[in-house]
Amino acid sequence: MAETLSNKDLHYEFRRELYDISGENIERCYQCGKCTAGCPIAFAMDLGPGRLIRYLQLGLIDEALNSNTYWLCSNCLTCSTRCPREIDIANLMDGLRNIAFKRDIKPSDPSVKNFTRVFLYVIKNFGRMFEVAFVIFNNLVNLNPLKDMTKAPMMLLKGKISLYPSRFEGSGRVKEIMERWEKN
Amino acid sequence: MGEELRFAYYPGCSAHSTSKEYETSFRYVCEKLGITLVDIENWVCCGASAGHFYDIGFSVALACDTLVKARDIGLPLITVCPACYNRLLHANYLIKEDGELAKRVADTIGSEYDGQHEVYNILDAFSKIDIEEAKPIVERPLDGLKVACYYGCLFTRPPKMTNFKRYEDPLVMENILSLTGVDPVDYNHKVNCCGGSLSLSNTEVLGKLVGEILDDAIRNGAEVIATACPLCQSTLELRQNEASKYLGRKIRVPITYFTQLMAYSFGADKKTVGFGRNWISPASIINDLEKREVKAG
Repeated sequence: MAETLSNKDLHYEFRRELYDISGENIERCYQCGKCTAGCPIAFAMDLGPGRLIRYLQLGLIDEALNSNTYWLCSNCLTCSTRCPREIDIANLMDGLRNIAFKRDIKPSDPSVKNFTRVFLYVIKNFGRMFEVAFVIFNNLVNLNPLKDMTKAPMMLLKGKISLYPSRFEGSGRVKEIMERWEKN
Repeated sequence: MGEELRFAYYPGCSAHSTSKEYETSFRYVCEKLGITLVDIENWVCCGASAGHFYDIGFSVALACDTLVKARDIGLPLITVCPACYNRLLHANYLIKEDGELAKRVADTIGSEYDGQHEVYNILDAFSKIDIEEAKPIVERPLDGLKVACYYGCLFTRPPKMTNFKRYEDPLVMENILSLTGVDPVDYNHKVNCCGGSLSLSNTEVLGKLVGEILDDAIRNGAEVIATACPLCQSTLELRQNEASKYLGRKIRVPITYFTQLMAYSFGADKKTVGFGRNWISPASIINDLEKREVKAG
């Protein structure tokens, strides 16, 4: 007897959530493969962007969420620009990351997730990027304390980074917006 | 110089740290070209990369905070950073599309915003300059300097937001730089991604991305690579070791902001031009230009 897929198997609720967050409709994709062909990071991904979308269409949600694809996406927007079905795929990747944060998915390589956490922590506390704090925190959470440290002295000398954060009125604004956003 | 160009200026985080030479040269060039910049006071980070990774709506709220500041000044916003530019455009796009989001953003930032405030990037603004009219400003022409103009991702993409026509093969930076007399090289990787957003998290993928861009530019004769993006500049400059490893040969090429080349040709002092801040300075190549001319003459 032929097997049929039910709505439950296809995880309509998940796809609805993804649509609500990103505004992107994955049902539009007809698997032409243009996104993967033009993706500069596809070589490092376990699923190309096109295949990731196919997994989502088929309801293979866990497999999709456990891939490294959406973490590695560099947001270059080549796929979004070329998609003949006008899916903003990079934005879809943002939607998947948003969901991964909500569900606290643990990626096999946590570096982008850590990067995001540390970045938000820094702008929340300083209002603007503060590179020295960022690199130190980021290296610590990734257990790689000396990464890129050989470049630090020259960066300081050339005035490209500063040991002090920039001080300005309203540096607490990011924190305020973050808290009010969560509340609203 | 034609219409009067006045902007509310949002520098973004990089222009205040890793790309100070971009900011100093940009301000100088604007002054020379008669572009007025009114600084947006007490701006905050636009949340590029991390903000939308975590929560798309929150990143829209952050961007709108800046857009509202510019709207209150009453001038179109200009930013030098394409990542900021992209997030601001994205926020405008979503606010116009999604009324519910617009309301939640307004409640969060405490101001109504309709997503209509005009956003310019630096290339848009400079392309309004009449090159012929501006020629007398040039004091030190860079005739014969082989430059690869590198755009990266976010000046041109996504065209539905940027309204950029030649998004696969832009020429606007080449046109602007023609003012200085440089000789732009034609190559394929102008709008390929350098991997900048992964530069600090997944350094292992950068060798290929940076390597292929630099290799293409150099093979087509580039002596200097000009860019308009702080993230591209630092990635292309600081990841040349990784690129060399990937290509199996040593690569060493200066990466400057295109405004540095303009400021130099307009006669700015050393500090304003900021070649000293570049990891690999193009100064020796540029000084050699004169000798080349003497030889040729």
